[in-house]
Amino acid sequence: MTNATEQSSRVRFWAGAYSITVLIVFLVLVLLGLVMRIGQSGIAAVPPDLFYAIMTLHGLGMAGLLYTAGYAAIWYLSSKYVRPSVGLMGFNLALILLGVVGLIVATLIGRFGPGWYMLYPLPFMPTWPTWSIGLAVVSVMLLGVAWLLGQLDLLRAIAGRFGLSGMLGWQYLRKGETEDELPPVVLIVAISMIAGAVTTIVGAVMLMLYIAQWLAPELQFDALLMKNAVFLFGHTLVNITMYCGVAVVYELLPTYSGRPWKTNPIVVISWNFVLLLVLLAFLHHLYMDFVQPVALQVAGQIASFLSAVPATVVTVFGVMTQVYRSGIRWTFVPLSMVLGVMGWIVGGLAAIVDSTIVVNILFHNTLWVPAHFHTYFLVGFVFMLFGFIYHFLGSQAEHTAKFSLGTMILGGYGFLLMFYLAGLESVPRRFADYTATGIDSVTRFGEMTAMVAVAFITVFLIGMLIYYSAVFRSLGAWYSKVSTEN
Amino acid sequence: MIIVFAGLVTLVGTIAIFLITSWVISNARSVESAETVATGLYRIRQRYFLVLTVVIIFMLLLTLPALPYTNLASKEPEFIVPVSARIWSWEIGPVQTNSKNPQQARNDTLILPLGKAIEFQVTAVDVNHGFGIYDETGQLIAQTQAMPGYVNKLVHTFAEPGTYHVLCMEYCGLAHHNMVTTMLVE
Repeated sequence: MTNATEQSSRVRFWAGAYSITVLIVFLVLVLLGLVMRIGQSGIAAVPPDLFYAIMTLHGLGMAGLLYTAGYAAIWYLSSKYVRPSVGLMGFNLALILLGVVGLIVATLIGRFGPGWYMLYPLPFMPTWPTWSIGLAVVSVMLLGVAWLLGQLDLLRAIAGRFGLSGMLGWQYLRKGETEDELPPVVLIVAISMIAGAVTTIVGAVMLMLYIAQWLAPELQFDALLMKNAVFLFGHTLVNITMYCGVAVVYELLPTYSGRPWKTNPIVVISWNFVLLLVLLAFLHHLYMDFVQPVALQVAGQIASFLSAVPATVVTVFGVMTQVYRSGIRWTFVPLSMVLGVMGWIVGGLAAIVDSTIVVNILFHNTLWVPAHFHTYFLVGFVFMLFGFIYHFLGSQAEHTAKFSLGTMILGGYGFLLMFYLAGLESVPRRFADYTATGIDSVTRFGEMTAMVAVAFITVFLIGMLIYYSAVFRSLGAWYSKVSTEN
Repeated sequence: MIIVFAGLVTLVGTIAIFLITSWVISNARSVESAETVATGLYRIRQRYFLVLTVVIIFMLLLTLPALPYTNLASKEPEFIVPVSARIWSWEIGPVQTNSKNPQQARNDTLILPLGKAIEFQVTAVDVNHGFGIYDETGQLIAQTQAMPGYVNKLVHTFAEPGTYHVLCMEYCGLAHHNMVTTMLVE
């Protein structure tokens, strides 16, 4: 490394490349979601093979894209304190784009459509061409390799600077002054990357078994074991995506409030506790598998309930302490951060309700499920991400950006409300259409809520495009600044 | 009842979260020192932590004893109904009495006994499916997964006679939404 400026401009370049890619792909994936709701509403027919292919691409795409976006954001913010590899970031973007192209071809051309978590053994059904199965699995593996390399690299960089126990903040639990301060963003990133790396390895093993079965169809694996593996990987990936968003809030909010947000023993205990919880909470996906040992089912509910403790006691009160009577100017970035945390907590509440086993038997795989995860993603993580990108690009179109935020809140919560109401009415998720159920209320409510949701998604999309106009306006200035520094 | 409670908790909680957020946002202008604010909020946080702990323990004690898993059941079900799922149809029945030498209780028409504990022994022959029972009002009243290689035992007692629909609750491929059948209870 020749000098700090060069490092910094290269870091900015790649963070920018990721941000722009994320914004473009996100728009496409939202449009795919809109097509699904149009199909479910009956406004226009979407053939089932296309619907389920789109559903698979939308789900895999969103889970993968938002994680990648969160990673890029924390990679950029962490690089203020540690030195992750810049070259690897470029290499990973190439791998990710290759994987995305593969998934687009497998789903939209091959009509590969087993859903985002590709529950074993559904991907191997002969309802889509064999080549599409192999292409999809290899594409997800490319994404997984990029994610794992990125996780290990960040851990290497953090451990190199703070040490193994230092990056978990254990020095704060010992008596006496802490010499080397650990920024909260680094602590959260370390916790998230440990959880991510462990579970991505599990996902990689699972995908290798998928490849084996693709090559030798006579192979058979245990369906319950595979389901545990896929949710350990998939649930944790989604969870740590959210934590990447929260890490962004911890790092950026003090810039606007003017108040420091420092690591202390409570923050350390809380986030170390999160590492344990995040590895157990996936068990709530298997409540309806009655053969799963009861101890694991109970562990799933306890871990899910307890996850409310660090989220609210530490992070929410931390946010309050940051902004309450701070004299903060409510510009777009702090506003989107605080509203993002609000969306995360609302989605978390709905998730905890659903993670109660006696409730889950009535909600499992109804529209309540997409209701809660769309809440913490769409009006939670995405708001945090949009705040980060706006901050990062140095955008200054305040009026436009704030107007876009208001529009997205209206569209977003309206869209989510339709999912919640349909969930309460037992409308199942992942149905290409609701006419064949033979249950009048399910058909009527499923179609009606989808129809209203289409209107609200349109409002959200308008808000999004206004936000895009606000950030893309500053792109030219941002690029010339980065290229001048180079 | 459970659904109403779940919906109410979510609604009330969401309104509370909205109100707290708008309170925090609208109270940002007047300036106090970070230390003063932290002292006041940490006091509230301590109380909140205690209340949250009590609520979590209470909710766990309230809900965990009512788990739906059959290996926790104190009473044996009176009837057994095998359920086999395949893409994209259901094979349900025949109804059998629950004894060491199970007898077919009825003829081939699937009629389930009213007010008796029935154990559905649910499996799948190809991919994962979900055995979801809907009552005549269109409410989902019970479900379990149908997984190849495993038998999930769901015990349910029908309190009302009528026609119950079965929908697939786990996405299983291109005609998943058409995987529907009915069961008569009398």
